[in-house]
Amino acid sequence: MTFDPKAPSKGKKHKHPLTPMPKFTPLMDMMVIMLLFLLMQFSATGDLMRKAPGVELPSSTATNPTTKEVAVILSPRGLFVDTGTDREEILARPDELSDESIILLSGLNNYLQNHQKALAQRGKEAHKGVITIQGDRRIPYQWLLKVIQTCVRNEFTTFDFVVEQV
Amino acid sequence: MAIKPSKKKEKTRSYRIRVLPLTEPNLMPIMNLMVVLIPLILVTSKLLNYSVLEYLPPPSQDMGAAALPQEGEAIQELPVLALRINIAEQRFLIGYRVAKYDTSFEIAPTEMGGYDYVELSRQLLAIKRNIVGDPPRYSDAKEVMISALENTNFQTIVSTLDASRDIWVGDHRELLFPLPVLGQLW
Repeated sequence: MTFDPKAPSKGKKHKHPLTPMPKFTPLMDMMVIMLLFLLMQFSATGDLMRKAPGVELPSSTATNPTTKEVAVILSPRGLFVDTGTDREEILARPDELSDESIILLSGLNNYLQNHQKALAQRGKEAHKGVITIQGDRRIPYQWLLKVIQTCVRNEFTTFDFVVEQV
Repeated sequence: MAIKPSKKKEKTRSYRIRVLPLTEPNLMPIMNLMVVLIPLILVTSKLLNYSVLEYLPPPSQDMGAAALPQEGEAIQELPVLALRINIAEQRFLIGYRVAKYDTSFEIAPTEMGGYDYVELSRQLLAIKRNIVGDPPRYSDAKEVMISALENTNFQTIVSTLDASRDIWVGDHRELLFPLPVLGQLW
């Protein structure tokens, strides 16, 4: 039996090799840059808009940032308040929107009047007259005109139609 | 009698005390947070594709009336062009008034049978350059009356508003008629 000077000692033989830990610092740097970039993109655009479920927005070349003062959803299922959640608050049903004898939508009319009263009670300034409409691309024009007419009657004179930018 | 530790042992112990292994801070929790935050932001950033198309109806109750001029007395003396786009079934009907005479023409559907928005923009650009002129010769040089049938879908209205607002000419956008007035065809 010969002695090999280069052979590891018995202690070293039984020693388990250390598992190499990945270097997280460059990864962290990259993540921080990405996070900052994304957050800056957010702050550069207007109010955060949540697309209503089941609504197919029309496509447009308009580039104005989104705003959200008073918002409604006009879908084939009717007219709803844009609550920003899954909770549905109906303002007009499809049959009411299609009825040619109805010119003003009572549900929307009451909602806008209550909104104005609520602003006054809270001591806030009157609304800016801007209403945001998330309209489905399939809805008939007649429905849209009824909503516009009811809003104009309640001193809402600027209509922001939410669209998908192309 | 106390036994003095060997010099070798003393040396090893002191070595162990003085030199601490270099350790990185534990970045795992921050990494986990980042891994959650970035996909969350990327998912919600889909919303950034949304924009708004602004529509300002005229102050008058009558939707068909031209908006009141806002640039002083000189504008009021100018004639009215009364440009209108009627959205009929699969085609556009354009009309305007020059020297008290009404002129109208039709834009045929595309080969696919849809509305020809490109041709609409081209025709409006021709009206803007050749008839309205610069400086404008009409008091309602920025306005267009868009009327549609009651069953016209919203996408058609939005695309017509886009086509009548501006057009790409070379590398810049040229403004056409950015103040639309919506009406209904009966």
